[in-house]
Amino acid sequence: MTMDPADLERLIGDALKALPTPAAPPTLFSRVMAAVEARPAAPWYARPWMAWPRIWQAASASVLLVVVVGLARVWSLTEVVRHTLVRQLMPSPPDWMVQAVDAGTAVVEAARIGWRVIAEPMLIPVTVFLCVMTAACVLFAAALNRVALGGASES
Amino acid sequence: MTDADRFEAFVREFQDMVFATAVRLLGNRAEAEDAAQTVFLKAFERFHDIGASPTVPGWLKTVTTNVCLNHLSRYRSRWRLFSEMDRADDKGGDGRTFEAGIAAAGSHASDLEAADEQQRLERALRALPDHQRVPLVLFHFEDRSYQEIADTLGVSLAKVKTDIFRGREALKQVLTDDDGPR
Repeated sequence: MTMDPADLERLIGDALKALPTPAAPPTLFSRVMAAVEARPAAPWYARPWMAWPRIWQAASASVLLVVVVGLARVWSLTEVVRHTLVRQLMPSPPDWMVQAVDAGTAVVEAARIGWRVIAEPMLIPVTVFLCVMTAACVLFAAALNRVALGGASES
Repeated sequence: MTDADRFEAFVREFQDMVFATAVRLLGNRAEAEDAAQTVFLKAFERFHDIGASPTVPGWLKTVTTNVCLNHLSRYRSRWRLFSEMDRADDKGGDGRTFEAGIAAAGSHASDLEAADEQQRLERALRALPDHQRVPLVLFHFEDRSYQEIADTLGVSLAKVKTDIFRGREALKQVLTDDDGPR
């Protein structure tokens, strides 16, 4: 006899929901613990960035930021050199090339202005703030671990 | 309590849930144990972030599902291909046909009690072919919608509905055999 699909869904759903949860075998726990202990103790820098200690994440992000800013400054310094070389190699460049270079220069200049006006004034204070807060958190955690938890274990 | 103690307590608390999810998706206890170990190793890597989170049961179920689906797609024939072939001798996670699974489960029908009937249903569920069992488990145990299942498995909505319907029909045999006259 064909059952209505909704009734079938309800019948099977109720029967399945009534099933007891299969218990994990006793070997699973010991296998997991053994696998955790057997994991090679990879140094922090060999792990994914998200697994790094917070202070090293902040430091690496700061270094990356400094590198990007430095490259941008180097790029602007070499702009004069690049213009000179282009003129020597191509004394009469086509109009489309001149327009493309002008458009690219305008974009770079707009980004540079935005950086100077908005981001650069905040860079150093924000970086200092982050470093100070990170250091404060690390010191506080170390102190708490030593004073509170260490004291509790001795009582 | 040290981190190691906390993680041990974490494993003890959630091992049944993780294993149950894996064994119902994979239909094989040995593979489910391997999958559960993989899940807990992933949890160990992120234990500082998720250990105390109230959403950790949902995270574990999601990771378990993903690990099991990756296992099914990597180590078995593409279940999409199998579902399209839909042969009469489709085999479940334990390598037996569904009919063989029912026959083995029903060999002691005269001595079954309610708990045994539940065991028959559990064995029948595991004996279903992958392409029926997986969407059925995702629907009834993980409370996913048909569309979510189709998106997760990369198949059409119609295929999901058809496979789930056939899986329910197959399990209905177990229930009606339990209730029917002998």
